[in-house]
Amino acid sequence: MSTETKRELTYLEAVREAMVQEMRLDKEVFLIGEDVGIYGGAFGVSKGMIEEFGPERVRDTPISEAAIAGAATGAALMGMRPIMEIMFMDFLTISMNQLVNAAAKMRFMFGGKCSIPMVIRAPSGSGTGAAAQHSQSLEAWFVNVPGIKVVAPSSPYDAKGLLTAAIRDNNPVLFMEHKLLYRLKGPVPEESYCIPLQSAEVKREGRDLTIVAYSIMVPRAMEAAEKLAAEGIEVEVVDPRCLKPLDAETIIRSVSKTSRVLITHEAPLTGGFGGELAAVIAGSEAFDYLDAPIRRLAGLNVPIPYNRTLERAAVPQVEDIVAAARALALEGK
Amino acid sequence: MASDNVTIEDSEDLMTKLKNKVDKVIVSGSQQLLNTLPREKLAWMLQRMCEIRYFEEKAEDLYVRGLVHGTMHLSIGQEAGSVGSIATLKPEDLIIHHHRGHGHTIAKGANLTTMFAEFLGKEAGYCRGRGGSMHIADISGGNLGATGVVGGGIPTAVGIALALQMRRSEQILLSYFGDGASNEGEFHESLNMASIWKLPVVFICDNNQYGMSMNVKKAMNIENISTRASSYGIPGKTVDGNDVLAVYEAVMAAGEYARSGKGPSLIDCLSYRWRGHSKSDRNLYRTPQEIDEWKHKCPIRRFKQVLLDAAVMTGDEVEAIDQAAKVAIDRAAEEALTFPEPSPENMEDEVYAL
Amino acid sequence: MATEVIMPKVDMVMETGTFVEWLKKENEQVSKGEPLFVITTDKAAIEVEAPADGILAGVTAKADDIIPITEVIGYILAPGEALPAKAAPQNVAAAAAPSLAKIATIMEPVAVAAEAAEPGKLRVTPIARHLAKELGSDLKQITGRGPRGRIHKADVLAFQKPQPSVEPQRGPVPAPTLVISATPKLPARAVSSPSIQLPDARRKQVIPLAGARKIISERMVYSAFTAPHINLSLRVDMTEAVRLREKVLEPLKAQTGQRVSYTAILARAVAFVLPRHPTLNASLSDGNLILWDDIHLGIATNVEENLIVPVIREAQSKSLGQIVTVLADLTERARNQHLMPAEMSGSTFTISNLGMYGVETFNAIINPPESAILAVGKMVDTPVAYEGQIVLRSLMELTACADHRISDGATVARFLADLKNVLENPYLLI
Repeated sequence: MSTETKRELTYLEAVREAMVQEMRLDKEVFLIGEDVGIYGGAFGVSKGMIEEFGPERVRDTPISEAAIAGAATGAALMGMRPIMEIMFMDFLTISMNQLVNAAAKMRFMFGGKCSIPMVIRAPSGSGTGAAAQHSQSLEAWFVNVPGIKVVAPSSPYDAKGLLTAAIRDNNPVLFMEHKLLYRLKGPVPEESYCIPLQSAEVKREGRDLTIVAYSIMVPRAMEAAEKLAAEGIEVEVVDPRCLKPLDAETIIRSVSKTSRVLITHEAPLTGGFGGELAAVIAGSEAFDYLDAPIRRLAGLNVPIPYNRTLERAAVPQVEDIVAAARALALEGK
Repeated sequence: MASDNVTIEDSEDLMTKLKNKVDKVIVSGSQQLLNTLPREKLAWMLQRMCEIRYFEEKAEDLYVRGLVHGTMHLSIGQEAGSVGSIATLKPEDLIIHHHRGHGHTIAKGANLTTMFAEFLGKEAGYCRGRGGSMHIADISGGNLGATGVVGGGIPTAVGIALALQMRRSEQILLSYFGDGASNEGEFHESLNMASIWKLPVVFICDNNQYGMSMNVKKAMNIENISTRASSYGIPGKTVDGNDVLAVYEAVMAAGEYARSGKGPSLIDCLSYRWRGHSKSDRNLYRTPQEIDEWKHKCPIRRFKQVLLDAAVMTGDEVEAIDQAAKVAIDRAAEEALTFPEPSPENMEDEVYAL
Repeated sequence: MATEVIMPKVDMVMETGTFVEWLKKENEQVSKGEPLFVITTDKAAIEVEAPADGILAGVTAKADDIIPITEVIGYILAPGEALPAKAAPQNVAAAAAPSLAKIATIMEPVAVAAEAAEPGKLRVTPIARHLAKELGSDLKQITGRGPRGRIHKADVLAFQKPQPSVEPQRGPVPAPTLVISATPKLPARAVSSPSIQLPDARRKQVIPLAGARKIISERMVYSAFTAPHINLSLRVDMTEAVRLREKVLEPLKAQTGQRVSYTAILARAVAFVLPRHPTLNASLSDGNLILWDDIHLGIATNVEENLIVPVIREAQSKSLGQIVTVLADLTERARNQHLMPAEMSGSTFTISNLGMYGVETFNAIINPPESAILAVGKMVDTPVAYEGQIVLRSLMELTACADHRISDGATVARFLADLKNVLENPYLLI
């Protein structure tokens, strides 16, 4: 990353900038979703875009998640590059047939004779009091569907670079934006740039244990790492950034170095992506270097509750990461 | 149940609306078109219908002989619906259809050998054996594929038509689905979305009266599927799906409507499928008499009769077309059976585009 | 859910009660209301009734225990009920307790299985296992500080800290190690045994095969069924050796403070001779035959019914006096069980002497990963033909048991002949 970059954007602004710059470059890129036009997007991501690109390319839709997904799929089939925005990741459930049975599968089913270059953007995650039906992280579902890529950036810089890459990718890409990250500020270059999808990043180097985290859990892990450094425990934080395709190599290298790994995500523990990561690590050469079992710290197996305290308790917070990492670092010592 | 050659009308209101939206007055299909359509076109239509019939019968034969993996959904008896509608298209126009889609694929000009090859799961098939009967697509030929999920093609149709509109294209799209699909949520979302943007698509219901086993009358609280068009403020028409010229007429009008930027229409082609839903169907939900009744309305037999009665063709010419179709099908099947199987290696590399 | 049996509060200011006895036995059926156990308080002995019907189980209180009130001392199980599972041990400092309770739920529940399928099977982290192998450390000797005795990397490193050694180490000396796991794979022949009936006899004691005994048993089986043993015996005329011993006894005692034993002499002789017969001081490993340069002599010793093998390291460069010193030290510490693990392993050749028990000749089982073992019998005054006359000479039977994969009969015979020669002409040891 350019060290001269002094300009800071919020994650939300970085997402917008990626879309704007790509739409300027390529007429075939367009944004479609509910309230993305004059309203500027439910979270304000597309503010100002309809003024520049007009109502055809910043296209408001009725509340019809299945038709939105179908519209994106069909347009992509024709070679356009739609970005569909679903207001809450939870509502992807209504789009599932088009995404899973059509978009993900058409290329393979039709013998490779077409491709579906579309992006599905969805705000995800809990912490805003939106309760059970507006707070989910459903990435594990899509990881398990061949044909869809899954991206979960944790910083403004990553968000812009990965969204640019996603738009240019010739496949359906699910782009998860954690709601609590929208306000996060960080350095973002003005020019257009791409971060290749399958590239994890070591956000912080350490030698005592590795934390693998993505999305909202990255800033929490970083904060936890600072606290643990004061206790003499040096944590290495690895952010996969793209869940599928996964850059397993970076993760394996890190765990081989530190011998201990804590995997953390907000989605519920059981059947979560952490299980996939744990299996990848356990089945790799990192196994030979493990000095403790692979640990997961994830959301409780509950729908996200409304009450603030309960909501907080349902997913890992900084202090939970600190405690779990400390326990892992001290195992057997 | 309507008798042979009477077009089933909707309510008066709809009729008026339709008359106001299109220039030509709709008359019961046959006579007008027999005079206006070139003979080659009519011959083309007859040949396609025969090919479909023979294709389906051959497919059945192959299945019974244990040569086909999975199941199949035959459209015997529904040949007029696909041929009549696709006959109205320009070569660059597009279709998207469904699991009972062999007819649409053949009507759209598919190579019969390549079709059989896909049906048999061969590498040389349209989808290299990866799709099978339910997912046949001929992308370069404007056939954007069949979907096996009922109603699943309709939202995708919205997207295709959206692209056509955004690119200011002259092309239109025909989106086919069955009577059962019209009860899916996606159907309603899609017609609504297509209607607000006036997308260049004609929604065509291949109404064969049954979902899998549920009679269409039991599955909805209204008389005609075409009534649903009024919910979206678009033209809706029910036609005799076994009258190829009636279908032609209705879809031609709807196609013009779409091409002129006025938006989508809904055409309900009333027809019947002679065979069960799929190969495992025991036909317990209908009577042999009912099946028989509809066999008498066979669209091919009717069309042949119409051609002969109007002296457009001689008996020998009709017979020749029929035979040519049969020969073509037999040859195609024979050749396709010799094709090699696909290799299972590197399948994961095929999932994503580079 | 199982019904708890608790120490009841029977007095107003009672905080603890003293347990006296159970009136019912574990696994016995009890009825609600019938007297179950007796306690005493400050005032008197009191019978406590059973709180429910069922089977008495999970009993923990015993006579004279002082137990706080409301503490659970047993359970009554109705049909279909089971004892509640014990809580998993907490390894984390109490300071972290509040969020720990949440961690316990939010973090992946540590799968607490029943006792390991194979009791005695080592718990070792992968990296600790590799490190131990690299360093040649015997995992069985290492204490693991992880849960349930799991051995971590730090434990292996701690174990490797240099012990006060008898002889100064000459640089990194890797002890001979082989890839033998704790439970070696046996040839099929050894594994499938016919079903054998135990005799109908009263049992004195039933001792689970565990610890050192188990290890010895496994190693013996491994050795016996993997290495085809060839056993050659000959009788050595020890008369000259006896004379030598008499002559050096006092000087060596003055030098070392120890009496020269025949074992020391034998050790010196073997160390002298063995370099000429390298296949008898070797190990098979990974398809390679390693001929050892060092001779680490194991001296099989019996300590309280257990076989241990203290090792005289680098015997090839030790004089008789040095061997005497080392051996005396090792033997004494062996008897007091003060030997370090490194001193009890890593031999390249073993001498086993059962002469003190009167055994004249025997075959021993090679101590893996070695390739040979010398079985020494009793020295017996025997009439023999010597220089044309019948005289009494001190004869001792030596049996060399060697791994026939590595050494042929002639090789072993040459070794024995060589050894015999040196023992019968002990001045050659100078």
